[in-house]
This record gives sequence, structure tokens and C-alpha cells, in this order.
Amino acid sequence: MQQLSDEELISRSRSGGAASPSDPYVEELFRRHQRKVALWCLRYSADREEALDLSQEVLAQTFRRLDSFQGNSKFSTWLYTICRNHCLNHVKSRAAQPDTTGEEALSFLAAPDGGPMEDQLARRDQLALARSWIRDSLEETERRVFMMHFMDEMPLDAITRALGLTNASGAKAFIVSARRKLGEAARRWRLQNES
Amino acid sequence: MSPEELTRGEDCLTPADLEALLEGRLPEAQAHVDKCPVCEYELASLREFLAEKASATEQQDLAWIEARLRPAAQPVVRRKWLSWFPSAPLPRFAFTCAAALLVVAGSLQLRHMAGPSLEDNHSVTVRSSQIRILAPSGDLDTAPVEFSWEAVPHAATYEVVLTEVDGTQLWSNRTTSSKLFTPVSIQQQMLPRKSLLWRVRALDGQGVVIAESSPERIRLLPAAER
Repeated sequence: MQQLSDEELISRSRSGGAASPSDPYVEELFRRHQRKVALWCLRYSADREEALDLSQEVLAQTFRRLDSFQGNSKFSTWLYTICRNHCLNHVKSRAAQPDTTGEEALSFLAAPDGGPMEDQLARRDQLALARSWIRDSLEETERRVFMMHFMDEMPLDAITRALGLTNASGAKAFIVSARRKLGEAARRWRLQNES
Repeated sequence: MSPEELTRGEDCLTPADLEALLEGRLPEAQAHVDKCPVCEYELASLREFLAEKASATEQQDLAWIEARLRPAAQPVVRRKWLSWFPSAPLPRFAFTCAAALLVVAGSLQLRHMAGPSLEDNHSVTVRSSQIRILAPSGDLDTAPVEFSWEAVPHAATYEVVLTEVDGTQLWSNRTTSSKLFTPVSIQQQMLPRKSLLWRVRALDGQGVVIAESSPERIRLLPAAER
């Protein structure tokens, strides 16, 4: 059984109808991947007890949705999307904050002394400009923290834990420096385009 | 436009594409990743998930979690989460017996329970999130000089808390009335386009929270938009 791929295990587990959790193929499938799930959940949790609960929820949810797995990607990639979304939802629900970070991000990407960038550019140009500023202005960890905070809307304390940041102010320091650098990039862009 | 819309384009890679890139089946996708911070981030996340590489400090917690996901006494894998599901269909009569037992036990319990008391013990019961905020709210032309809300019966004091959107507290103060003036130093921290949240809690004479408002977003408009 250990020679079988994940997708073959799923296929065999379905041979007798709907997959059962006690099916040896299902057990083998989850045995292979539960460590990935546990580690990911650990990084998105305040402590190991919470991570255990989260891991069990992800595994149970994955099992419930196993019949809908179509093989468009590998099982491990499919599991990753379930695990990632579940952990993000968990972190956001725990934070219980309204979604206002989108506006914050836009104000970062806006020219500092004038109207928002979106007033001046077509969407396609905004996209290219935002990408270039983020890519060219920010260091790797800053980019990661920026994306987690503004795209995935993760609270800063959760990002600090997830990335294992050990500096005094954690993710906040990276957001502050990213904000400054993007502001500078916006200012440069404005100067170039006004002249 | 959301940050995701601002940065994620139609040409961004799907999880299956990212997987193919990682496995060398789609090398041409690397050019997109090199210029796209969203896909770079997604690729790094997927790679990290698949690598399952734990640091020394994570190893201990991971072992603790795995031991509970998979009871150590059993050489055959049988994780705790699997026990949430019956390993074989339970006989129908078992469910019937369980249901009947629940009905009987519930009936017996109800017989011994007293009915709801109509006696007024004068205790104050106020639901949370009940304080109605009056001002400020939403987009503002000028920094607010005061926070105000509707008074709550039996409240001895009110506590106002102003935070950034990530929860970082900027200022907090208490008052006995239903409004509180904003210090000038706090007004100066309200920068254009920067969203802040404020909420108010009502406390009784013992300092117990008896009511609370929902967080209210405020944002100072830049001069050009006023």
C-alpha cells in the first residue's frame, strides 16, 4: 500500500462506494499528510491545544469533502488549500475585527499628497504598478508579512507566530517598514509622472 | 478595489499551476512568479506546507499534537479525529434505544425541574453590543472632538477605547457621562485615510461590564476629498 500514490489510494477507497474513515486506504492517505496539517495549524494557533483542535477540524473537513476531490491537482495541493483557508478563517474569526484592511492597503499604495492611485490609472496599470512597487521596494520578509496582512487579512500577532518572527515588535515592524518603502515608491512615481 | 484585486491578476497561477512549477512540469510559470508578489507568496506558502519542516521549538509541540491525533498505543494508524466517525454502521436498534433513553431521561429531568420564576430579583440584565453609538462614525472631515453614545440604565461609568484596525490600542479613558472629549494629542494621531476603531463599554458600580457597543470605524478624509 505504501507504494501507491495518494490519488491511487483515493481511487481504491472509492471502489466500494463512499470512502469510510476506517478504510485502510483512507488511513494511509491521512497518515502521510497529518504532519503537514499539524505543523501548519501550529503556526496559525496560539498554542498546541488550539492547533490540535484546528488540525482535527481540517482533517475531518478534508475527509468529508474527499468525494469531491477531482484530481485537478495532487491531493497534497488540494489538502493545502483546505488547510490554508480553514486556518485563515479561524485566525480572522478569532480576531473579530471588521474588514477595513483593504482601505488601509489602498492608502499605502496611494500617492501621498494627491488622490488615490486608482483615480488616475486604468486597472491593468494599477496592477502592474502595485506589483512592481511591492516586488522592487520590499525585502522578502516584508513582502510575506505585507501579503499575509493585507491580502489574507491576518492580524499582526498571528503573522508573528506563523512566521516565527523573533524581533521585539514582530510583524508590526515589517508592516511599518513596508508602509514607509511603499510610500517612498509612490512619491517617486508621482514625481516622475508629474515632471 | 480590494488589495487582492489590486495585486492578483487574471494571469495569476492556480494551485495546480504552482504545484506543477514546484515539480518542474511548468518551468515557464517561473517568469510570472518573478514579477508577481502574489504568486511568489502563494508559491512560498505551498512549498512550506509540502516541506513540513519543523523548527526545533516546533518539534515538541508537533510531537504532542501527533500523539493525540494518533493514539500511540495503537500500531495501526487510528487517529483521534477518525474516531469522530463510526468505524462501521451502527445497528439501527442502537440508535432507537439511545433516542428512547434520551426521551425518558429528559422527561424525568423536566418533572423535577421547577418552572421559571416570576420573582423579580431586581438584577440588571443588559445584552452585550447594546450601546448605540451616536458619533463619530465613518468618514470625517475633521478629527472628532468628542465621542458620544446613548446612555445605558444602571451604568456607573463608561470606558472608551480607540484602537488601530489591527487591535493596537491608541487611547482609553473613562467617564460617568455619555460623552467623552478627545485629547488634542489623540486628535493629532488621526491621520488622513487611516482607519481607526472605537468602542464604548458600560460598567456598573462594581466595575462589571453590563453593555458594550460594536466597534465603530472612523476615518479622516484627506483635504482633497472633503
